[in-house]
Amino acid sequence: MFTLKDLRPGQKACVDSIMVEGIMRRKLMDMGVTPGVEIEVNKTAPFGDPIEVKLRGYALSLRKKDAQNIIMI
Amino acid sequence: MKYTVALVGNPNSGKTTLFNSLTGSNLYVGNWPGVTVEKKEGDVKNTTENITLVDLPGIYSLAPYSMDEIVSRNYLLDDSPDLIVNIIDASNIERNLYLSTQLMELDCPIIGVLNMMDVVEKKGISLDTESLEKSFGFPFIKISAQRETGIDELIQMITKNVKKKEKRQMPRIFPLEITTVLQEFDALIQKQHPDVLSNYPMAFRSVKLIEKDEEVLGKISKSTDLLEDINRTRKKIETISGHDVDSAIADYRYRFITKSVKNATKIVRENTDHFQEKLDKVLMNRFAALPIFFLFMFIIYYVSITLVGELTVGGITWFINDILIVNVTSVLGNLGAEQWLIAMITDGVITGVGAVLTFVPQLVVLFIFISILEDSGYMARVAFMMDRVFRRFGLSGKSFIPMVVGLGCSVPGIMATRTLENERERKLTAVLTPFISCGAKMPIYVLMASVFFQTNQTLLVFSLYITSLVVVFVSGFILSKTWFKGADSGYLLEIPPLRVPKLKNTFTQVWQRIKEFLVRAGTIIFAASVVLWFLQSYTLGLQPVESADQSMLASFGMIIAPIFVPLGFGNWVASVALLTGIAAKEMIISTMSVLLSGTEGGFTMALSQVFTPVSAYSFVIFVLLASPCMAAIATMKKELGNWKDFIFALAYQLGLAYFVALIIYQVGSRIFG
Repeated sequence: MFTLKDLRPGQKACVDSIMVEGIMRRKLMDMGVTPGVEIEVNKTAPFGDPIEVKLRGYALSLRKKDAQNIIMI
Repeated sequence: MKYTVALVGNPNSGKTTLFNSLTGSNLYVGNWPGVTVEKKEGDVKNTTENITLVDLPGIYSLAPYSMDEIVSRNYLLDDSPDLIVNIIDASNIERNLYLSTQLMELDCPIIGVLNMMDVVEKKGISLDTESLEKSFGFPFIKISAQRETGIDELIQMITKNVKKKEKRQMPRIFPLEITTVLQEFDALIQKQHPDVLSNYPMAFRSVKLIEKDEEVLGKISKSTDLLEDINRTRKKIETISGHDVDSAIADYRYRFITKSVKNATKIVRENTDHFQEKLDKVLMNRFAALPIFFLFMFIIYYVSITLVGELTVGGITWFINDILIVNVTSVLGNLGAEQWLIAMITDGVITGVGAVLTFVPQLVVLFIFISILEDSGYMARVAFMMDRVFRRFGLSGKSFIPMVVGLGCSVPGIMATRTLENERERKLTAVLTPFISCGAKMPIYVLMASVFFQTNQTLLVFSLYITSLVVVFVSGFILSKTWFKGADSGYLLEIPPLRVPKLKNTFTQVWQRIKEFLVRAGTIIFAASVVLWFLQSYTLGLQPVESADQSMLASFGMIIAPIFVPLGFGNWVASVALLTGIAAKEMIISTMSVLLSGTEGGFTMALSQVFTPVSAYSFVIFVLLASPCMAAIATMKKELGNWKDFIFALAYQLGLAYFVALIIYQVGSRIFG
């Protein structure tokens, strides 16, 4: 099992499930992070966190704390 | 018949540009009753009907998580507009259509406006509007708000659709099994709980109840019966979909969108131009990103303060003092005007208003830079870059955006905090944003720098901006652990593609900001200059004074001056200037020029008698950090929403300014004598 946080820039995988809790969970889904969607990691911020990913044709940034709770397949 | 049309769309979808194109110059900012958020409203131009367009804040969904979302949603539900114009960034079509699937549940006619079609076509993609209409059940139109193509057709379409009363059959977004569950639930609500939100659109009500939307649940009395019914329906959906309710509903919406978009998309040719991506790679390179950012900021201040300042300030000052005042004095003298009237006009009005106008060219350049930062998409990148740092100080990277806006003016900066979801972070950012120096404070620094720190002017002004950043961080750290304690809301931010800012947009924005500045110069500052001149020209016994020290203003200033003695500027001129600065920050230099006018050796000479370099630095630091002007104070009150936080914020800002200025003066005067 691996998570979105484990992906290096340039790698991609599909979302299996979202284990994030609370409001952030709903917000992620509103932004298109739903089971089955393909996500590619673009880059990491200068200080090592957050990360920028590409999904559904646009770029989204999120913290590693949340990325490690998004299970990928 | 008057029609209302709501303009709804994601942030960054080009809403404001479209709003300006559709309404022409009729734009005004209106405050709506009941809701403390400003919405823009204007009349649609070139149409036979009387149509008002309402620009709602940009939102990603109708979920009630940020103030922007709640405002937009409540407007759509309570004011039921005649038509929704749903602007969709066609270059990011899937995510944008997610909101559309929610708008469809509101029982209101919709037009889908596919914006940024020029970008899409450049990528070699073609979109079929008829296919989209077939899937979504409402008409679509292609435009480019930036290039102003398709605007006339859109206006015709709005005019035609706003009059239509018949309801369209909305398509099925969810699979048949789920739709059946939703319909059964709705029937149950109508039968068992007929008084629950009976005025809400049916589809919206069912979905929101099942999602256990906090805003909706807050509006009803939660009977155990109803909650049980909701939970039973949730179970059913979970069994059918194999997911929990939240992800199931979002997932179905996106599946519907992906399918519809796929049917409507044709790739005409592969695009090979990746210039923007390359530029992004350079700007956001892990090692170069921060140096590049600081270089940008330094260039902005170097160009607007030093370069433009050297070119213009001398000329304008010369024009005001040696041409305007000399000629006005002689013309008025020849007309036989009284001596006091001439003095009031030259030493009062022209000196006071002129002191502010001197800095207009520098402000124009500063505002141009800020507007370019806002339009290019660089701002979101800076938030991304800084999130890690800001998080340590109890803020999020998003807090940085209000602060960059605050470089222009604190009022829009404080209002920009509304995009922060977390109340604690929002309030904290609203309290910290005034510490970021606004454009109106800049003239004070420039003036003091030119008198006391002739070498290293840019460096001195830049040091002030660094000071304000340090204060923001330290205050964020302290306040997030004390007054504004609580959990952080996390960070999730869209990074828009880099765009070349449109000249027309930049000009509109710069002009609006400068216009406000000029209006203030012509009203508040004009009037205040007259009053100040009067107060400093006469004694308490209404006798003309020989020197300003005997004036009633001086007597008043001397009462408060002792407060500032420990800071090094305990004289009445500085004290009065700080007081008038509460009305508008640029009043500080107007006041000082009026009060010191007529002193021998000119304004510069007079200033160096009032301040030493150390006390001048302590003075600008105090101006930088002390509570902002009236307008910003009022905005802060509105955004904080309660007196307790507001009074705390004012006390904190004033106390901190006093404390920092005290240290600078006490330490500085011992080092530099």
